[in-house]
Amino acid sequence: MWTVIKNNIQSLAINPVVILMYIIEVPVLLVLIFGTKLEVDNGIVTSLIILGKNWDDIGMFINFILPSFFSLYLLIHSFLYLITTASITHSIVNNTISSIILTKNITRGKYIISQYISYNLFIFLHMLIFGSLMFIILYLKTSVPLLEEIVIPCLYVAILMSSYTMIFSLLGVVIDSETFIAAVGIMLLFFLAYRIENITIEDGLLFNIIKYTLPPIIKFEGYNKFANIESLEYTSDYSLDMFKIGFNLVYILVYISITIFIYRKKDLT
Amino acid sequence: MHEKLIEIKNLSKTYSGKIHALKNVSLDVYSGEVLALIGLNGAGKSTLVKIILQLIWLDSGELVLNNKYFGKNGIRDSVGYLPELFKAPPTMTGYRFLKYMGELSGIPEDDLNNKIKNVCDILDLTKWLNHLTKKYSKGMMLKLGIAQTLLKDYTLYIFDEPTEGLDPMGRKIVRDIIKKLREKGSTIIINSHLLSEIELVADRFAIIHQGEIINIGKVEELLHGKSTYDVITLSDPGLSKWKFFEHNSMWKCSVSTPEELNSLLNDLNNYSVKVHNIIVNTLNLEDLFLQNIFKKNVDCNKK
Repeated sequence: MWTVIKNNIQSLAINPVVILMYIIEVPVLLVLIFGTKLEVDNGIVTSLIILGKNWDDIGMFINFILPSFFSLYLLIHSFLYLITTASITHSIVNNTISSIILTKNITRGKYIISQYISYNLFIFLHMLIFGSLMFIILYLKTSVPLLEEIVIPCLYVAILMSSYTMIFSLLGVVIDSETFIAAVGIMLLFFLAYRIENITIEDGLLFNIIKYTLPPIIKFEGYNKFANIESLEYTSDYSLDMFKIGFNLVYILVYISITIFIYRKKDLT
Repeated sequence: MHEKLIEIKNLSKTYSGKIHALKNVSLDVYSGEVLALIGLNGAGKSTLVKIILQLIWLDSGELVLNNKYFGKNGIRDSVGYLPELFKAPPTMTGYRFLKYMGELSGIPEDDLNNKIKNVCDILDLTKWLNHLTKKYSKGMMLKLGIAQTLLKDYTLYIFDEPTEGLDPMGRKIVRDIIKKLREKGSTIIINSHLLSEIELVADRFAIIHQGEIINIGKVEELLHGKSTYDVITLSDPGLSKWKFFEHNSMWKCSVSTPEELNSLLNDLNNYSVKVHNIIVNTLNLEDLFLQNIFKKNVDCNKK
């Protein structure tokens, strides 16, 4: 199992979509390290220079531009990961390599679990490393520990994606179309997620089925609520509700069990 | 004959409840033999192989694996498999792909590099090992697919189209590999369209058509008595018993058994007709295959 996980992580690290993420990340980190000058007094930013531009309206920057940028950044990551994880279907169902791997000493159940773990472990490590680098750079520049503001939102993306991968795995063994699955993911991310928490009995059976079959972590409140205090430490939308995460784990176990059950019976033509 | 390695009894498989991929197929695979499954596209060869590999589940019938040859995991970890249209991940180098496959096969790290080197030397693939597989030609990709099956000694090898896209040298290498595997006592099942190629290596052939095995046996058994003879004379002998046709300013009569040939030659001798030439048309596997398919289609049409 570990061999499959290790190989998948290596392959994901050089996946073109993931490389696009590096291309977005590296300049952000470089600007933070070399292009940003911050003066902070008791957590309040008193002077801010980015790429030689002196920001007079620091409140505007801290309260609106920074969280907007960060939210957009996380949304882009979620979107790109969504495209990447949609390929999990192809890798387990429709691939000559899978048919070779399944003649080796690995069961179908273990193969599904390996695929699931590798995709999520990679996303988790990627987001953790990026979040930690941002945290360290800003901590060194400001002495303000922005753990909840930076690292936790990054981990939130990883947890969110674990739910998507789980749904994609299940859809993949049933429907076998990467494009369709990516479309479902995008629909969930951009349209349903905003509305799903507010679905009531009056919305009809279909919407209620969707509401209760989706794991709780997907029912987030959106990326567009910004900071409301005038300091670097702003209120994050991405707080990790431990009850939701625990409940999410139950969903993951159920979804993966159903996926394995179907996959074990599936003809790999 | 060796022991039975795999026994297939009355196996049937239908896709989507409509397409009958296999109909009541029974087949024994013996240890140490090279069995070739031949048939047209969509005949059911790959389905049969995938059922043996347990990648596809049978609807009815029985698949029995001889426990003496297969471990506790059954077919898993006992088979080297080359799928049809094999394609390695494009972002991997040949070396990384083989290392991955070797690790999955449980080959110790120390042995693996030597194994990869040896196998790639045989297949003339060594100089391409550090290139990404997306740069591989069709032939090189196929060689890589064969290489991954040879990293470990398996009880059974299944090659689905192992020579398609290979140049003559590559085909010769694959034939030699198959012969060596057989000498070592392994069993090999080949699916192929290149009948002239597999005729050179296979011990037995099973002709599959529309999901049924329509003929099976050793090549010499299948072809025994299947030669035809053309007797050529310079003038029309005028014998009503034999049908002579004009052919390139000469006259030709075809017979299908040695007995008929003897009888014809006796008659010609009795009437003092000089025989210009006798041509023996040896039937090959391709002719036999086409005859079988044609006969089966005619039978189906009559029904």
